Amino acid sequence: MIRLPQRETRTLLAVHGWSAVLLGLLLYAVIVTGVASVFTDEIADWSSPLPSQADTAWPQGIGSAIQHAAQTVDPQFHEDMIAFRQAGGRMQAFFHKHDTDPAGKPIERGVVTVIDPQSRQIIERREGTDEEIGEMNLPNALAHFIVDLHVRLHLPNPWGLLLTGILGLAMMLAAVTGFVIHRHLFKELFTLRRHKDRMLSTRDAHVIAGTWNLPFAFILAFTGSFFSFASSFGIPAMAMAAFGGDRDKVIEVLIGNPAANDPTPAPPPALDRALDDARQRAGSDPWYILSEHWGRADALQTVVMLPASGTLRNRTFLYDAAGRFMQEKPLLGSVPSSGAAVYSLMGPLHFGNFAGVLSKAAWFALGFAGAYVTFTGLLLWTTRREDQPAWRYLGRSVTGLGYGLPLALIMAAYGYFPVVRLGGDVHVMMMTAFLAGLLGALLLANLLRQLADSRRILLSLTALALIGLPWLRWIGTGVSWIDAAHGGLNAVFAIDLGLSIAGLLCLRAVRRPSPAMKRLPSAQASPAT
Amino acid sequence: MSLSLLLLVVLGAVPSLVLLLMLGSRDPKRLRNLPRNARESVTPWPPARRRLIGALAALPGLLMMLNGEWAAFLIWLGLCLCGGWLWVHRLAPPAIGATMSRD
Repeated sequence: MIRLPQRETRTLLAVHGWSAVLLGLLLYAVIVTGVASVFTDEIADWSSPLPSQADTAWPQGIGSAIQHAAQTVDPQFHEDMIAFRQAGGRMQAFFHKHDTDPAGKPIERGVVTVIDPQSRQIIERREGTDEEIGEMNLPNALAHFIVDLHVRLHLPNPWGLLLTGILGLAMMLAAVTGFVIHRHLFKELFTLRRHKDRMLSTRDAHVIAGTWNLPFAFILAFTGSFFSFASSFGIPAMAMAAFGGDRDKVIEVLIGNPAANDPTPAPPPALDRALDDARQRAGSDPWYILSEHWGRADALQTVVMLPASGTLRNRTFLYDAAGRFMQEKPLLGSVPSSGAAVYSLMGPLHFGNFAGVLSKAAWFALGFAGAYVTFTGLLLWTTRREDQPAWRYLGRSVTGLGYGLPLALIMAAYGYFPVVRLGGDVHVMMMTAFLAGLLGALLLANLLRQLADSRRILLSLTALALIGLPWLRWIGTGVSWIDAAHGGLNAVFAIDLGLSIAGLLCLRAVRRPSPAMKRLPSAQASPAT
Repeated sequence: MSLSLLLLVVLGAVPSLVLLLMLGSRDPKRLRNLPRNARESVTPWPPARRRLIGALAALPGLLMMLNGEWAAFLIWLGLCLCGGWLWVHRLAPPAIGATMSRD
């Protein structure tokens, strides 16, 4: 053991504790944005609705509409096509060829055609690389902003993914070690001593939320780490170790056999026939369709179906150019395996999207519990060190970020809707509004004398922002509630109502002081001390 | 989501949540920590009964698993965990007279 003078030991302990809290704050950010991301499809539908909502983005005959769209696209981009549902039920078909950027990185370059599933008309068209096309996607921009924050904290690849992967591992480690060392807490599963010491009450509330949420904390952390590490680290490492660095070979082995090579020209693939057959086999709607070698004799169509009611897994079917069924393919490899079965569970277990709104609501509530556990844990940790000035500043930042992050996420929506109405760079506006909200909250928490005041002000601002957002959405999209009723836009109604209720709950919370907050040092000391 | 799945989840979650509420209301540690005036009216259940009620609360989930109803099982589990968390807050005594001493 290294012997250190008391002063150095104290400094190292402070650094150790600070780094843990900063990691905890990042984890809190990932969890909060993950909670919002559960409803990413609904957020996209709400933020950018079409005049009326189709029953499905995959109505009968949508394949023909995609074939018509193909005729408007330069044949050089007919190498592959992928079609999937976007905001408001729009059908997006991306005709593209595989290319490399100046740095030699593989990219896709082509044309996106966005089709209204009801009129079957092309309503939008974008051209460029896959990245450029993603940046031009205004209807989905708000939902993508939230998901990107959750997946990689808006950091460049692979660093963002690596960081969120590490945070997921830390959360999993906390869940496992917590289960092992705090088993006695299960005896306190129903104990909340609200009438006793306020710190004890906050500690109980933290422990109870953590204990009830433990199974899901583990599931979400494990699957989240898997998704973060798989593409940023897992596949490159596997390519290096087992395939001599040949990433294409790894993908070929993982995804299955590549399409045969027969460049003989042929009619466009029979998408509708393949989609109809896949619907009958799976008993559900398609998730996406990938058509390789468009307009060639060796065209291969991969139709991935959403889970049927009562099931968890997607199903994947392969079809030839004429839309004839070839085989059902596992998600990994070309023959069924236990690895493929486990892999196919990762998505539904992480996203909670296997049974519509009901499963999403359960995942949302459990994610909220996870955010609550993280935030109250950080508050308790910093409160107990209130006598040390360094911890006092960190305690203020915990309050600022804890209450400021939800506010900043709502502010991002305040940056989005004016662009929808007036034009401008949506990404710059959303990021500016988000950072303004976050930095403003941090500044407020560090300037005000009493943290209880910071909490009250931030919660009040969040309440106002939440209650005002449906009105801004109305102005931005031009879709009133009467229009929404006529068009069957359920997501617009549900989210507008949810935001208003959440705003009222925040106002209610403003009137209830936080027990832990009353103990925080800033309640007695000025920032200068 | 189909109606049959919704029905299955409701049929499984409602009895489990009721049993969890009963379990919580007779939990010995919770009752020990109640204010004195509230403690006299309710007696804790013995361990054997608590284990039985706990097992009965878990039974719907077990049946769902045995029948391969994994989607229903996961939603049932999520609802039970959220519901249990909610029950604890509903069963907790009000914060009247709480002190401010250091933990």
